[in-house]
Amino acid sequence: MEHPYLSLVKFFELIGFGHFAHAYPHVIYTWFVMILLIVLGAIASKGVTMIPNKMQNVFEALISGAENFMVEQTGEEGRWFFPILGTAFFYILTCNLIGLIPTFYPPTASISTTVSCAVVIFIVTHFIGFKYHGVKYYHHFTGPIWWLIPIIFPIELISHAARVLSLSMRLFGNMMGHETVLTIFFALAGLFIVPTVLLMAMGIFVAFVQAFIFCLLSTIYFKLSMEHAH
Amino acid sequence: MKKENKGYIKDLAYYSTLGLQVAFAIIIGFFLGKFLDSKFGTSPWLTYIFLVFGIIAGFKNIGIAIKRVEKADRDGTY
Repeated sequence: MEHPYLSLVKFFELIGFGHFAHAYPHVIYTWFVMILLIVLGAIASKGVTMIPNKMQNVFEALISGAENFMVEQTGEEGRWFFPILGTAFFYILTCNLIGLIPTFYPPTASISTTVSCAVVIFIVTHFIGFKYHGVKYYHHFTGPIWWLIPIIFPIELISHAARVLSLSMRLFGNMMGHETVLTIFFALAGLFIVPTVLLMAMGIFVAFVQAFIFCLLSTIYFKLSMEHAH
Repeated sequence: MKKENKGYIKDLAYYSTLGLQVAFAIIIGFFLGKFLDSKFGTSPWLTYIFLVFGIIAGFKNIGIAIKRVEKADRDGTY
């Protein structure tokens, strides 16, 4: 369903990139999220001191909370891959949340954005596997006995593909559904905005839960590829 | 938030994703088999074989979840 009014797309029309902006609104809004996160990060890390100021305090609380949660899952040896998961979490959370601002479109409501996130997680999963087990990582795909290889190998292949698909489709489905419902409610109720606002309140919950689930599942996948083959 | 509640939320998030994973594994198996059938002209055998592979892969995910529960029970943590 076409979104009725998108402010950044209108802005790109003004500077002459209207065609591109209409075809790919999620790319435009991904740029916006990127700029937002980079600027906020730069402001927060500009004057890092032992006694944190306000901005640094907020970011330290957010990031150490996410880090502790992840280390609880993987154990101490998994602390080094927190940056990728933390980035994924805050990126997806921001992408979900800007959909709540009127005239903004959440980039995660487009399948391209979510698939790109899931593919990155997929590649990092196997990178971690090779880092921990070396070439022996292929034992994860072959099973315990050599004549089981023709059965186990396709099964593992399918289950790894299902991970990517389910990671991306879950996030995409939730955000797209929420966006569509909001659009329909706005079209039906118009200026009587009570149901729309109630739905937006639920949208905050959905945005947090989906970012959280994406991160939790990625952590579990990383942990599985760190462990020894069963 | 209390530590116990945090564990429940984590479990809820994890197990609510299991169903989707099982379904997707079966779908991927089916369509992979269908694609290979149209490639090699062996319809319908590869579709059936890969459908079975997909079903096994889906249930393997449940197996991983069961292992997780057992480990959590043993350690007394979530």
